[in-house]
Amino acid sequence: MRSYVIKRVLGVIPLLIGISFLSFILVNLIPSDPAEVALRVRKTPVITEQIIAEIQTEMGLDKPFLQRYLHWLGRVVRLDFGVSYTNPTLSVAGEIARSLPATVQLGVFSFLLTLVLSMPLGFFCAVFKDSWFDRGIRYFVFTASAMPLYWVGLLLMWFFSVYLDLLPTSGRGGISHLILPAATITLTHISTYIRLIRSSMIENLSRDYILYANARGLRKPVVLVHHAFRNSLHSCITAFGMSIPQLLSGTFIVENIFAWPGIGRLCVTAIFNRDYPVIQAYILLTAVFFVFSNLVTDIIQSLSDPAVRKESL
Amino acid sequence: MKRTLLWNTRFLSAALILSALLLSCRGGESRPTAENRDQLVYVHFQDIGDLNPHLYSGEMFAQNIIYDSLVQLTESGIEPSLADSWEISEDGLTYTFQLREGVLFSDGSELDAPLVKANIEAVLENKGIHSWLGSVDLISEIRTPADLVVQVELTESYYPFLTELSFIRPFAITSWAAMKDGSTHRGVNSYTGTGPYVLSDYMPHDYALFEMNPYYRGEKPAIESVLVRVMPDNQTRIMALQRGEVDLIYGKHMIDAETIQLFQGRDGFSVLSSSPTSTRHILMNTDHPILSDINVRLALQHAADVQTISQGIFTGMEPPAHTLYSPTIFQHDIPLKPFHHDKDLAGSLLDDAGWIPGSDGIRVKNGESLNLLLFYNQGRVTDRVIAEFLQGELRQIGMDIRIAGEEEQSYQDHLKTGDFDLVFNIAWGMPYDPLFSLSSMRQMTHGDYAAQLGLDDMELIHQGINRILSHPDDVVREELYRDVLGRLHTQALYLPLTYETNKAIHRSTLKGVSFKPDEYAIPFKEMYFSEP
Repeated sequence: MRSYVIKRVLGVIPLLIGISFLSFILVNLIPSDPAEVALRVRKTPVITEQIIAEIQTEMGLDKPFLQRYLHWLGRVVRLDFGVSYTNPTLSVAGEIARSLPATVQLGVFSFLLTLVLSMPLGFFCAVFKDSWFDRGIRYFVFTASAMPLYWVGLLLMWFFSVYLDLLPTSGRGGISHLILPAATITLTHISTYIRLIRSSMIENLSRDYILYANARGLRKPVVLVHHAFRNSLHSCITAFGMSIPQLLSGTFIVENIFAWPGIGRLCVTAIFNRDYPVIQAYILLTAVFFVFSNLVTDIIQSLSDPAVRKESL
Repeated sequence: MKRTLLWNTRFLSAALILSALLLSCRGGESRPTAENRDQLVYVHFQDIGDLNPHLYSGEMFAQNIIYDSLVQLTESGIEPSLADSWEISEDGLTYTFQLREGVLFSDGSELDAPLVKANIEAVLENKGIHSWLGSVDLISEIRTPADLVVQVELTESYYPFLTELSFIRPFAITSWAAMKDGSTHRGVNSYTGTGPYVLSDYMPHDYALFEMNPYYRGEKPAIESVLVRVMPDNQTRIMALQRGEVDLIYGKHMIDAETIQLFQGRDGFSVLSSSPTSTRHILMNTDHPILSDINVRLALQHAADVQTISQGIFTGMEPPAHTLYSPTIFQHDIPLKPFHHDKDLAGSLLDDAGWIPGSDGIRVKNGESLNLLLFYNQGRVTDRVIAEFLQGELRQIGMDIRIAGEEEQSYQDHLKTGDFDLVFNIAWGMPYDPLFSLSSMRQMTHGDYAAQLGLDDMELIHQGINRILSHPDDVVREELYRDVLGRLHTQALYLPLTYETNKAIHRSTLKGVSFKPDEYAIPFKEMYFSEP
């Protein structure tokens, strides 16, 4: 087990170096001059060649590529991503630190809501396969996955905020502000997990060990929950694990619609404003989130399923 | 089995505690709401940014309520602000400003002549980014002969100097304490000004709270605080207004024609539209082999049905444009004959230019098709709709227009390098038109410069602009304007489409909403709440 973990952790190091290089090179591959972009982003009314040259020197763009990359990497290791182009009074690291709690709050709440709703629904759909309940949920799942996130968000906002006047339309505040954005995320994620749990349960219910458990005379709830459901969860761990970085990297559309000041909003704003330092930091951070979530998920899976561990070794 | 159950219980407990913590972390926090009628909630599409008075990245409406300049631009022209009065020497080289006595900044410090000098010098330190202002190259000396007297010496007469001083930025005045080592080049310590409001609470990309400046010298505003909420999505802004979470949506890029229609005549809401502020137009590259022929440019002018664009695309909210600058923007009376919509005339102009209809309906000349590429900025959705409409219209006269949407930076690169046949553009707007947009035409980095390269009288036009900027006599300047604008109009390289207007939608209980000569200023201090 230990050697498996060491092997996986060591494998992450070159991956991270590669990601850092990619996130640096991506922005540098853009044909426009970053100095000119920075000036434009700062709404400089008339951009002259002279001021472009001044900013190039100030930003160190006159130095060789490799030197710039190493200098940037050195700062990134110390979590210094530079300052935002749009607002030079704000550091990129500070902006990420400010936005992250909002995204974590929304992400964790949506994740728990998805988990709490999808597990029993998927479970009962499998148990009562092809019943009216299963069919109803399946219709719901198809409808929910066909609805665009943007539309669902606005629809919920109109219904609950404008029509029923129950919840605030947007912004971050108390619990009431969290409900609509979290419901929107949950509605679009839940269908995937319900389907996953349902199909996994159905598959497990037809296995020999369930037949054996039934033959042993175990009570039906015990067979369903402690045997079938528990084993079904193994296959869902990866999906759940990968949805955590997805939620933490921000849900662009939902954060934008609901004016939720999280990482997704920060990134969308940075993209629209061509705020390269923020975009670079975001790419890097998201990639790191995914790499580590993948690592942790793999380790958890290998802990819960020795077969995986054995295969990997 | 027991261990798993125990683990599950622990996990669920931890998850519940964590979620409760997360929920409560801001749940109890009280944030200003629209309940308090001394507070106005204004919604903006983006963050207020860095409000350094001498830089450009901050939102101008916010800078405008924090800072004052020596003079201000009003409907009647330049009027006193921090300067009580001023004198201009006969040669137009020396400006002497008498400062208002007892003016206090929001930090309680007092305004005096050395501080004004330091502020102007701070702007001059960063000359490169202020090159659009003629005065930054012309100020040779700033003197402070008395505590409340500032003298600015110019190297040559420059009549827009007072106009430049009146702009929201960069000549706004901040306090000593706000400056870093007596300057603002490397940022400011705080946003301190003499305006009616002061920034008291700020969460980037979320909200900004402006409260009344306790030391404000003028009449106290009825609105004690302005809460600016950031909502990037148009639909969200509309629903927030409908629900009463916000009181005011204001600005020409904040409201589309559909929203105006939705709120027009609706109980509890008022809709306002300003007179024209800037001109939406298409720039033709006169250096292009096809467009270098004036007959082709004239054909485009006559083929474009701007009346339909105004009514069909903007539901009449943007009036049709016939000249590069609206007569309401430009106060001088310069008669320019509009190019009326006449497809037959457009067709015959192309015939005259030697473009003969081909078998597929597209005109040809010397084996080459009449084919032009029209760029637009992808960020401006309406430009695409206009482009598609024009594409259909122009095809009827045998012109094939291809449309290409470009990302902002790439669009700007096309303008800068002159790599375009036709491109959408917008004039600078109030109060910068026509003087400063004309001035920018002389800059090689501007699309106008590239577009004019094929004109025989380009040099004459630029010389005329130079003289407009320096001539002290109003009558001569009017004559120069007549010449420059006349030439640009006759050369037909600007295809005016519509005049953009400033718009506002607000709750009917909010009164005093109006538009100022500077389209970026929002007059919060004149607003108040009252039952309809």
